[in-house]
Amino acid sequence: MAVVEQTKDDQDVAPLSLDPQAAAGRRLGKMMVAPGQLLLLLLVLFPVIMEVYLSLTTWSPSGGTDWYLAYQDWTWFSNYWEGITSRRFLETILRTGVITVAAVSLEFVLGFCLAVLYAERFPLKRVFTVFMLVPMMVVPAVSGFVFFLLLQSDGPVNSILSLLWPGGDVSIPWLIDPTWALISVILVDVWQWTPLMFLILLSGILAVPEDQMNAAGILGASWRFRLQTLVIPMMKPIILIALIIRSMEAFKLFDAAWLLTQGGPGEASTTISVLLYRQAFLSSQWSYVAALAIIVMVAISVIASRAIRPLEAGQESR
Amino acid sequence: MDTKKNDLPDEKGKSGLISRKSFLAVAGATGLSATLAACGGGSSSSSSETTAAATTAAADTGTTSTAMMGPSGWDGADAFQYTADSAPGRAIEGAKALKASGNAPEVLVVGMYPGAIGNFTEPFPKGAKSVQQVWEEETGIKIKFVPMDAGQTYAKNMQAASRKDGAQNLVVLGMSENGDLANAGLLLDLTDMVDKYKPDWNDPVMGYVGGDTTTKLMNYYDGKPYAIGVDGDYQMWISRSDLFEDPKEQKDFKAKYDYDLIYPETWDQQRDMAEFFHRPDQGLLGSTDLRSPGWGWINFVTRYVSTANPAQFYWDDQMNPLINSPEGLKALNHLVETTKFGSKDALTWIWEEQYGNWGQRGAAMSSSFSNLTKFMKPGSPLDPKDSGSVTHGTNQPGWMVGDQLVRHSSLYFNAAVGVNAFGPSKYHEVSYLFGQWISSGQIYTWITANPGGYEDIVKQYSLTNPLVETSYTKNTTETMGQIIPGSCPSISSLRGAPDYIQSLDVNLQKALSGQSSPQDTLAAIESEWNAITDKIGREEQARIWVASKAGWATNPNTSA
Repeated sequence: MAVVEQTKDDQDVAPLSLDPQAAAGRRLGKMMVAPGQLLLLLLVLFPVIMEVYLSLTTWSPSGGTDWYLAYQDWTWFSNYWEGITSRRFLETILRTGVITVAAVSLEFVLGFCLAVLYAERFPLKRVFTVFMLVPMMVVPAVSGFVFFLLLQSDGPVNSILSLLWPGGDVSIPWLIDPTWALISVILVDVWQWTPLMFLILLSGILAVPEDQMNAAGILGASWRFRLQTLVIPMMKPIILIALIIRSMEAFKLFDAAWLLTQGGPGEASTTISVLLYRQAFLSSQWSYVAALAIIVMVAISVIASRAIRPLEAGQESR
Repeated sequence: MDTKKNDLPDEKGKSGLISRKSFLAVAGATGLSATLAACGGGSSSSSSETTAAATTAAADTGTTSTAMMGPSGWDGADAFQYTADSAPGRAIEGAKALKASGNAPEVLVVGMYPGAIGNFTEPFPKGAKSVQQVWEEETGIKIKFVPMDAGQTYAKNMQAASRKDGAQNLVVLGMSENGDLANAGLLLDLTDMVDKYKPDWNDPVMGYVGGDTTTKLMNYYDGKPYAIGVDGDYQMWISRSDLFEDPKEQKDFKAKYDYDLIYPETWDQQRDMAEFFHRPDQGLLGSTDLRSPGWGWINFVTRYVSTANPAQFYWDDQMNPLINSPEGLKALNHLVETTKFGSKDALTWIWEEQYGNWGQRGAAMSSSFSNLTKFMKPGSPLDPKDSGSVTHGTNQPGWMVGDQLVRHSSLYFNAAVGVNAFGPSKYHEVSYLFGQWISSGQIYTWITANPGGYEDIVKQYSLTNPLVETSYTKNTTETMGQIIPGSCPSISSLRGAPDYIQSLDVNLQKALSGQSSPQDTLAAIESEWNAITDKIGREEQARIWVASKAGWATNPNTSA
């Protein structure tokens, strides 16, 4: 019988959980990590508590009082009410949502196509891969400024388009027309972050079991059929993760919007990050910004938690 | 520096002895200042430039009031030298005394715009030391300049205020920031030190052009001095003399518009001339006064403030906005209409593009800082086509109000320094003295002449100084003498000024890009300004606004 019988020697050995030396070791371990964990907790918790506290007041540094005396300007939830009833804030949220959906959709389509292409072998693949990843390595502030120069009405982009366009003179107002300014911000984000989407999706494609793909091929399944019925279903968790990561990052977009247009013209390309920056650092409305930031954080958390439910459901079903 | 042989053993008076001659000079000066004080002299000095404090300082260090101090090393340096009983002299003597008593740091930390640091650190002219070197040699106190980008000073200063950060002894700020920073406690009230050391701000020879009005505009908030203006960002209208004085252009203009081509005196003329000269196919733009975020709103202000006689204010005395009015609409309509005579990228151009275009002779007119003529010199990379030689400066155009031509320029940004109240208190006084020294007529004139930085003309003494005239042009110095006394403030000397400006700026961009009609734009600005005022407190804000009107021009037009 393949059962481990307790020997007399075994009975003499105490269980690990009762071993005094092990217990002392665990206590020592907890003491060693406690300072670091406490510090982390303070670094995360303290700012959040401070932010919530300020958001319930009308405190501003230009008032001349210290921040911990902000209770003197207590106003409960008036900042929150002002935020959710503010046309400017709501329009900015909507605009940021549009930028996010448009940018992430384009990045996904392009990234997926590139990933499918790169899953195959072709000459100089490694060289092309390096070039593919370069945009992602550029500091966002640098790319914002470079595109600011490229997208001038008399800039290189319009000049190249004029050469390619039949009948000549292309003068797209990339940065000065409200609609084109929004498009410019989206395009710069797509240029910069499609490589990230590509990398994530490529890893998903390469993780698809090759034997299943080969078997399907032998059985006569077309490349398109294999993509639809094998690759994409197996990649669902990866796709979801890629979309969630990029959506959260795109929602926080600041560099391109600020450097290209400063959120303009007017507020045509103002994202939520640009709005918060303006209100905080150009207007010193710190308590109002704290409330807006908390509203945004809660909204994104709710959306993200719903978005990852399929992932959790997938894990449970296993 | 001169030293009278029969006076002190050495020019710094280190022996502590004092001669009968210098005793009589000190006694006479003391008596005169006492007389002036009895007559109720103002907070800054009279033309005699003597105070009891200064003479005490002079006596303490043993320096005679006639010994010359200041820069040297080139012909003409004597124009920038000063005695101990002058505003810069009192600053130096005071700083020396504070150092001797242990109330000065080894290194004074001064925030400054990066583009202006060269004014203080680059030796100019040939043979001279730098401004920084002269201060350090005369006082023994080193200076460390901390670059602070002009677009970031408000945010960084606010952060410093919230942290009670005293790392900088002197902070740099823009004119619109003084209200918020004073309220935040960052800026020290300078009243006592101004009374003690008597800067020359209102001196008819050495003071700010425009006298007390300019002093109040630049340095005061709520009736007290919190900052020391060290810049002159007045907007000068510039035109191309090679075009405006060309006989053929004059003939063609007259044929089309039925009046003579002159340098524009009214905004209506400016519009016609911009249209006439707008020839983009020939690489010439009609008028490139800026329209971009942060840079364009001042060109609305210069159109707006001249719509009434003597000037059109932003608010009434109860802080009700006056901008949503026929005057505001007139100004905004003109701004929107004339945008088409500039670059297609007018909404993104800042001063670098504007100056670069001007250097290429790419525009007929524009509105710029006076330093354009300092930078547009033969051989300068900014001036490949010698545009500087054909740049003619005038006051901003204006409007006919009844029979009176009202022409006001305005200024914005405009660097000032303030004593950091959170810095060590024993260093407050020496920090102030550095500010008094660099803002004095002699030293600031020397500073502004330096092409190493963009600090501009603001001192009366600069208008007739040959070095400044060489650095800029004679036309510029004459024009600034006309512009400054008649200028109106942009939005400043108010708590929340950056908020009002931001509201104006963002909404103007909407009008300029066609997202909003001019009427709706002005209504939006009015609404937002009221909300800002109510948030701050209307009654208090109105009181401060009324006090700030001391910085407004009372003449409708000081142009010749």
